[in-house]
Amino acid sequence: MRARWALHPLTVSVVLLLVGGLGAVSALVTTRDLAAAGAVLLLALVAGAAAGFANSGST
Amino acid sequence: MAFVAAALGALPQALVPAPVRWGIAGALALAVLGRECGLWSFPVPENGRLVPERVQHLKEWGALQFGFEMGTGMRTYSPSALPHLVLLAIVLVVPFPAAFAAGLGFALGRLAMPLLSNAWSDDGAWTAVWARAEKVVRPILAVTCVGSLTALVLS
Repeated sequence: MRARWALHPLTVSVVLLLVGGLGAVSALVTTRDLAAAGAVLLLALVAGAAAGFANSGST
Repeated sequence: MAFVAAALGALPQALVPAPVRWGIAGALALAVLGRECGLWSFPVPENGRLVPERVQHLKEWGALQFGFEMGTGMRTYSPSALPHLVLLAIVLVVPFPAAFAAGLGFALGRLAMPLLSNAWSDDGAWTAVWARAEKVVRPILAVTCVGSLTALVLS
C-alpha cells in the first residue's frame, strides 16, 4: 500500500520549510566559508523550489 | 531565466547601495507574503493562456517545447507571486552563483507537482487534494521562500 501522506502537498511544503530552516540556521551560525557557501546555495534552492511548487497549482 | 536575471542583476548589485536594494527587496517580499497569505491581492505579470495541446505533436521536439513553455511559465497561468519575487531577488540581492541554485530549485518544484499528481492516483483526485490543502500550503510556501531569501541575505 502506498503511503499517500508522503505525497500530500502539505508534506512537501513542511519538508521545504524544515530544510529552509536548517539552511537558515547553518547559514547564520557557521563560521566556515565552505559551509556558509553551501548553506547559501541550499537556501536559494529551497526558495526556488517553494516558488516552483506554489506556481504549479494543481497541475 | 535565472541566468538572464542574474546577468541583469550584476548592474544594480554593483551600482545601487546594498541597504537600498535590501529595502526594495524587503518591501516586495512583505507585499508578496501578504498576497500569498490572502491578506490582500494584486495582479502579477503572467501570460494567461495554456499551451495548445497540438504543440506536443510538433515533430520530434514538440514535447520538449510543450514542457519548456509550461515549465518556465512562458505560456501558462501564474497562480503564485513567489516566482516573481525570486526573480526580483536574483536581480537585487542574490549572489550570482546562488541564482543557478534558485533556478534549479524552481525546476524541481515545478517537476514535483506532476510527479505527485501522477503518483497520488490516476483519477484526477490530486486536484481536489490540492484545492483542500491550498489555503494552508500557500502561506507555508510563502514563509519558506521569503524566510530562505531573508536568511540568504543576512548570512
